[in-house]
Amino acid sequence: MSLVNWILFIGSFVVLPVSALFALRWAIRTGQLENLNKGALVIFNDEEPVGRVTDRFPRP
Amino acid sequence: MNYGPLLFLGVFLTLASSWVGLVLVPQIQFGRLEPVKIEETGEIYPMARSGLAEQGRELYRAYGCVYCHSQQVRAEDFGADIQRGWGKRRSVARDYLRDKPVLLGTMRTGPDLTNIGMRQPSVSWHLLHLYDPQMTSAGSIMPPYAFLFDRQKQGLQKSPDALPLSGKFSPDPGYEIIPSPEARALVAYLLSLKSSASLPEVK
Amino acid sequence: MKTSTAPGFLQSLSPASRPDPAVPPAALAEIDQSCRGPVLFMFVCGVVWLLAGTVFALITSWKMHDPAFLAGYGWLTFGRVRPVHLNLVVYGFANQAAVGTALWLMCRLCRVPLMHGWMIIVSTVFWNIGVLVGAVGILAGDSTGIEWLEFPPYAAPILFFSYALIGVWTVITFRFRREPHLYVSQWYLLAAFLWFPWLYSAAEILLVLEPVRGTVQAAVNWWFAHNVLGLWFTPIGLAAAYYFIPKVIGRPIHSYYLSALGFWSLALFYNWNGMHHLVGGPMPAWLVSVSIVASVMMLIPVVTVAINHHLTMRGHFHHLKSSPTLLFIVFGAMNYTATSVHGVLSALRSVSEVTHFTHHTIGHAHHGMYAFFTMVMFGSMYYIVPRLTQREWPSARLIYLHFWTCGLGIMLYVGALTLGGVLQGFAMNDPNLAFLKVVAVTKPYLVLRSLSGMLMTVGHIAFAWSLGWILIRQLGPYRDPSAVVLGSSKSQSTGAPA
Repeated sequence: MSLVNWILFIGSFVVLPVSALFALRWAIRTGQLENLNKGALVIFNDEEPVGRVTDRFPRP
Repeated sequence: MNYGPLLFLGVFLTLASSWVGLVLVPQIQFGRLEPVKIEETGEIYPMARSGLAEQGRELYRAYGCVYCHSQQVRAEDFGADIQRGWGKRRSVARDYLRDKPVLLGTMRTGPDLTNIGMRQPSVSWHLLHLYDPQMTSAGSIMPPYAFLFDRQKQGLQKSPDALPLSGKFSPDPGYEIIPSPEARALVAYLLSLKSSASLPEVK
Repeated sequence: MKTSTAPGFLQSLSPASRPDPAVPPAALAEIDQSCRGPVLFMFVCGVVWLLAGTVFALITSWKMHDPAFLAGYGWLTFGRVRPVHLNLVVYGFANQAAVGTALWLMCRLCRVPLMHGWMIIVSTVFWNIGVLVGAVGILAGDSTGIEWLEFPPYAAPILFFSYALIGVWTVITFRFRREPHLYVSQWYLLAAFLWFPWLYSAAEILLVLEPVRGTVQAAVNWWFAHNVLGLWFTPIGLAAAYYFIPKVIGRPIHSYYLSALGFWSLALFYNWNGMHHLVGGPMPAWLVSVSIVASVMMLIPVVTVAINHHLTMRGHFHHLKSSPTLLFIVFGAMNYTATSVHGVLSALRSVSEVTHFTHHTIGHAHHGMYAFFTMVMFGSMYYIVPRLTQREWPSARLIYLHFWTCGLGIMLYVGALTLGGVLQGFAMNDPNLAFLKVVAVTKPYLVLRSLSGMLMTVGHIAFAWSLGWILIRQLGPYRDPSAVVLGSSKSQSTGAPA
């Protein structure tokens, strides 16, 4: 492979996973991943709380 | 995962990775191939098509022939393309240099056409087949392209271009079917489909 | 209940404006009310294209086992009606169902009412003009000849302008959101909305406007086409599933960690899959191999999503009996797993050697686009439309008819073409078998496909009927104040902030 190809190859297959790992490290450090499961509750609120079924078939 | 800019960056970089790997790198690697001169015959390959064949190619595209016919021969040890006589060698990138768009196709409802110009060089076979595939290939599911032909009143003599139809395929008495310029162009294109020149990269 | 604190359009565009922190998150009813015009308009247009696309589907399918059918006209030849079918159901129906659902989800998740609705309406008008112009163009013979990108070049600017409006709207809504947390569905939606214009523009430029040379076109074509499935429709389908499954049963997603893993592994691997459409083709071996590897790696996000959805639903499957949305979406989500695993297998060289170029591929494509994506869209619309119209669906029977005809129809479709395609592939790889004999092998399965298509047509008509009926109901009195399905309606006067 030519030099350009090597550069691009390294770019795609090395730089990206490495930056992904850095991003993961950043995320852990700044607490992005703490209490992650709280995020699952965002779709509920007082109007439609957890436990409320919100769909049904129309009654004839 | 609330940080918009980080999400944007990650989303951008992930698609950028395959844009580089699957689009940019191929463009660099084989996007500037040029035709080559074949030593044995002195020909340039791939040869430019005649004007009529290029017109035929536009019709091939416009009528969607690509949805039933592929134009790529697979290697000898992969599938049975070469054993079926669809080509002498597998297709390579250089075969498609002049094609806009490249009509590789992804379906073989009908046979592969990479080398149909070699396999079936008869103009009249193609005209008959296009007019009604059942004539040459009973049981085929290819549709008839009778609209590429004109029906005209027979003169004192049959026109030399008239299709030799018989039986249930023949038109009403006193009429004959002649190919339109579109039909001729399409057949010229099909006959131009030959890509078995031995290339340096396939030896 | 409309607040007067929504910024004006020019204000929204100014980088200096900030969302007013004093404004509380909007009530569900206010959000639904604001979405009504734009989203309903988009859904109705989408369903019109669904019906038109279905007609073209039936014609196309019938022609495959009865080639003389409607064969007298050039504009109706198989090679034109087939791409018209694809483009109508994909860009006419699926795109508008997807964007309509996405807009409503975005408003709900950002907890803001739909702002600057005129942008959506104008965008929808242009999108539909673009689709119409494109489809007529294909019938007239101007198809580009590039799969999934057949609309003639003159349709592209219309579609692009339409999408640009949606893109701007999305950024504005996102900036003025009143819910700081980004739910998993929003990751998928925002990602999809960035990826799609990139894919489409790149493909249009590199294949139509300034075509690259030779087989690089094939690489671009399948990078584009596969990613329309994987990075546009799949994320929107998953976004819908991740919202509606927990919302309907009233239970949060089982594991948010798995959601994050699923999202990033999809983002990383899916976009590398495209070259698996070219196994055995005139491409460098490394290019095809990397896509096969990426296809296998897709098992990670697919299994992650499957586990997450299953554990969320576990113990709650009885709700399928009482929720149209859940019925369609769980069917769709299960088929997402099935079609993805099937896709992984199909990408392997040994399998592709048999199934490539056969009807098996079409079966797989419909498995993903229909059994997964379209069914999820039906489920989404079944949830959203009553909330927009403040009316109930008129008939449970029509909903059941829709579900069973389309559900059974698509299973028959996929089964017939998968089996037929495999048999076709084996026959094709036997060089002693004349090609016409290979064709003969496929015929019974092509007939089965037409039958399945007729079943699905019944379902589509049932759905269109329900939709028309519920829209007409808006003209009449509001009928069921105690309906739990409309629990956050006028009967609750204040939307308490979260």
